[in-house]
Amino acid sequence: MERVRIEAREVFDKLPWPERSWESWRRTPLEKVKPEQKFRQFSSPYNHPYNNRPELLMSSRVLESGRSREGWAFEVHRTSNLWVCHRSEETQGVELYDWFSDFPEEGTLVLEKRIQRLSDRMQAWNLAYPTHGLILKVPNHQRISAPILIQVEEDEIFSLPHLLILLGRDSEAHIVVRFDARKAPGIFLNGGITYQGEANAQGTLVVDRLLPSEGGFFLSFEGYLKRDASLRSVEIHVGGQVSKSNWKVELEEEGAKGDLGGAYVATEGSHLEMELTQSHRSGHAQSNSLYKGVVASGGKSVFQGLIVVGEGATKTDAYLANRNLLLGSGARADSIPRLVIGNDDVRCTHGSTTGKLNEMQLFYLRSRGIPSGEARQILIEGFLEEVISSIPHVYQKDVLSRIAESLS
Amino acid sequence: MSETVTVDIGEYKYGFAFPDRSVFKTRRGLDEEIVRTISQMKNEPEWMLQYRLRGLEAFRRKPMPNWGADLSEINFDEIYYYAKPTDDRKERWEELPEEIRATYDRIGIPEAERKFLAGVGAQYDSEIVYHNIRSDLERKGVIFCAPEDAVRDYPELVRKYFGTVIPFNDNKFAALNTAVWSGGSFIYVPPGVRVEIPLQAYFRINLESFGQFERTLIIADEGSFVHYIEGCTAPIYSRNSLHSAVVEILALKGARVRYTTIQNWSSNVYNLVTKRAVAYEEAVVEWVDGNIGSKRTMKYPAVYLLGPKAHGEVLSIAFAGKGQEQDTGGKIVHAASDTSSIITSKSISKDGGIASYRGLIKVYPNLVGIKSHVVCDALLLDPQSKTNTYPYIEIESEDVSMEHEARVSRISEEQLFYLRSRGLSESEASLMIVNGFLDPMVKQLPLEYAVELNRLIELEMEGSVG
Amino acid sequence: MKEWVPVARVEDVKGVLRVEYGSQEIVLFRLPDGIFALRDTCSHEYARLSEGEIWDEKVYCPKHGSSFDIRTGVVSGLPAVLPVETFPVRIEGDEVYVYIENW
Repeated sequence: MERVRIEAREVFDKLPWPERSWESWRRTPLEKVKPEQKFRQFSSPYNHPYNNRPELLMSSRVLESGRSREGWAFEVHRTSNLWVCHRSEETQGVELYDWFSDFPEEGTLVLEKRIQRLSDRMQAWNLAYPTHGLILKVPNHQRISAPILIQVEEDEIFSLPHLLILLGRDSEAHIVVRFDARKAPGIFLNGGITYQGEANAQGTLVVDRLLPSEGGFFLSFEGYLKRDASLRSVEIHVGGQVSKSNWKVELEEEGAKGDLGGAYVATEGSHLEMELTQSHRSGHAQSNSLYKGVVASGGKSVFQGLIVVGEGATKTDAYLANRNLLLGSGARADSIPRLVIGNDDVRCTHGSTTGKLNEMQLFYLRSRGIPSGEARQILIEGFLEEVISSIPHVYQKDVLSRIAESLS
Repeated sequence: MSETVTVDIGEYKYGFAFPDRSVFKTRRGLDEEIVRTISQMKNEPEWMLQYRLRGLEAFRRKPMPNWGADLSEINFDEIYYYAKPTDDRKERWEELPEEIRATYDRIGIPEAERKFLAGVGAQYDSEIVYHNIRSDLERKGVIFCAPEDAVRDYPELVRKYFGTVIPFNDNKFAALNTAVWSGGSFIYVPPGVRVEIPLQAYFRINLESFGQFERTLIIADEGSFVHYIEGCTAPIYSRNSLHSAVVEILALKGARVRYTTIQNWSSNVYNLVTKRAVAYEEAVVEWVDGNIGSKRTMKYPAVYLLGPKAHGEVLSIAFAGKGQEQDTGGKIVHAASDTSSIITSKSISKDGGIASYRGLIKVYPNLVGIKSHVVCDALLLDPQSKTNTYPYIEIESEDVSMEHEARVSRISEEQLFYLRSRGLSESEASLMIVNGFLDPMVKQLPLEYAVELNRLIELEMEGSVG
Repeated sequence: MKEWVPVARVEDVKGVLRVEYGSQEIVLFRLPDGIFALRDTCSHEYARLSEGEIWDEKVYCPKHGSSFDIRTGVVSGLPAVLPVETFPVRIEGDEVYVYIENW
């Protein structure tokens, strides 16, 4: 942990605060969240919440507490600084470490890799000055078919969590990470998630967040896939005053495969940004992304995609699609799907479409007696279904009902 | 301050030098004195001089773009910003090096064009052709002259539109052009007039065609039609390494303007162009943009759809060979309802060349009936070549149907195998596939250009040009 | 709710003066026949018109040259396409008042 903290702070100190003039921050209303001010107030070495409360450091730990619920193989909930963990039989081998304890060397190595690649201060922040965090490790050869839940309840208005997820060789795990910040109105939540899938590890990762009506949410994810490792991911963004996520998947070795999905609903007054990078460092890898969003009147979404194929990454298959559905006048959607291709032996396409609800389909439903509001819900759900269906079944209903509620 | 310099044709791989023997040149670098000299040499009225000076001030103030092709080697202080060729053009066709004449033979450039390009200038053949076209245009009330002449003879028209589509401080290179522009075309087409033959710069036998800082202004009045062609497929060697043209087009209600460019500058040229059109109610503007040459090209023809039922199209082809970076694309801004747009971009990269598409589709709020379709296809011919796509889509109205797709591909083993099994050599097969790839665009060109372009691509594929 | 608020002293408006009312940014121009007020944000890419140039009673945005008629806020040159909001101006004594939303 010490090494990570020292290296991350070194990098953090050298990076500048983001500015509106930069390409990746051009569209973000930074003035509504004021990161620099938050740093001075809550996070500098002088103000860190743990500085004057060493008992927090001592007390933050993992507590084992019996069985997980029906439908879940493993659950860990964070409440008042404790990680409470519930297991089923098959997950006895799963290791859990609090961020401030000693964690395994391989975890340190993965984080060091992440730190070396940092180029944005906001992303470095939750590695340099995290307020809480967790390392979850699925051992080699362990296959867990039922899903795993990591629920992070946020009750402070300043939160910098970092989660490290490690899947060993030949393992399988389906993880849902859920940030619940509803009890912290005005929250500034800047979280990081780092993931490494060793050879042939098959992983699913869903990240979902419940936000109060005011507040800023930032998430940066980096996933590293080794030989034949696969990752199916889904980011869910429903509402939120200012929400910006940066999702990067590095296909590091042959046979790596990424299926990346995103479902978003920009309600009135929401500003949702998603940056996605499919980075093909090695050849013979595949990545396929589908981000679908619905923007209500008065909402705004920004999707920036990037497929990068390095010079040596031959036999790459990479696809990117963004689909935006606009629900009323005053809805705004920006879509910037980019390609940077460094060799010719690739199959690569991308597409983006933006439009409104299909008049014909609406008419059809209404002609069958379904009221207009409900008909729209049905069509919107149908539209997002393609992405939502990748989420572990036990969690789908939660997401669907929240989407329906946000649009009513 | 200024000097008469004898310029040697010297060594060059292909094309030939413009201007040639004796020239009047201002000294290197750019300052107020140079701008005043340019204005003076053109006998301009005070208002145009003042406008140039505003451009100079903006040029100094504005930063270089922090995106796009690599422009780090441009040294603004080393460039000659104005050179007026004298009439003393004794260049003869026979004096041109063998390879040049051979290239023209291969490409099949018509005799009259060759002689003009050879600098033989106002040759008998071209004169007659030119005269016939000119009297026809005059009868219809079409104005087609050099912008310098327009400033002098049609000041109300010029003052009304000049700089309203691309203002003096739009970007660093438009500001530069505002300060030192020279040559280009001014076209005004009266209401209802259709100009059936494409207008081309060399019809005016303007010695300053193919200049560094051309300024073109086209005004198509209500219900009119004109097709303008700029450049030519013949490789042109320019001693001037910085080319920064500005083209402004206004298509008034119901008018249609098509602007075709085939650019094939030599490999020392930085070609940084600002081209923009406004289309009013029911007007149509089509940009057909072919970029074959130059070291670096940055060019994004734009159409602003300002009136209902207007339509804008950009058809762009780029060929990036060894050492080249073609950074091109198109921009369409929908600012009125029931407007539509199509952008088609096709690029080919070979021998390490880099072809990038950069585009924008923007739809303002409170509009209905918007349709837009963008297709970007990139063909990579070998492992060293590269392509990038940076499309920006900004939609602020609900009643929009917008589709964008981009594909990267290479000549597949299967395609090659199939064609070779039918008796074609590998290079013939490659060429056929490349031609098939470009076909939709080539179909849009006037026949003789299409033929020339095809032959030029053939030469590029063989690697025997430049 | 709109109301008349004082934003500057008449003598301070020499050519161009940028003023702030709450979080709103306004630019005042002095022309031969009076003082005019526009929102100090270009409708193209949000640069400040108060930092631009004035030629022939039009203001040119410093970023890309969009121009607006100072009296009416109407676009007179691209790349902007939407007009800029104007505010009625009243002089009372030595103060300049503008009629503006009071949030």
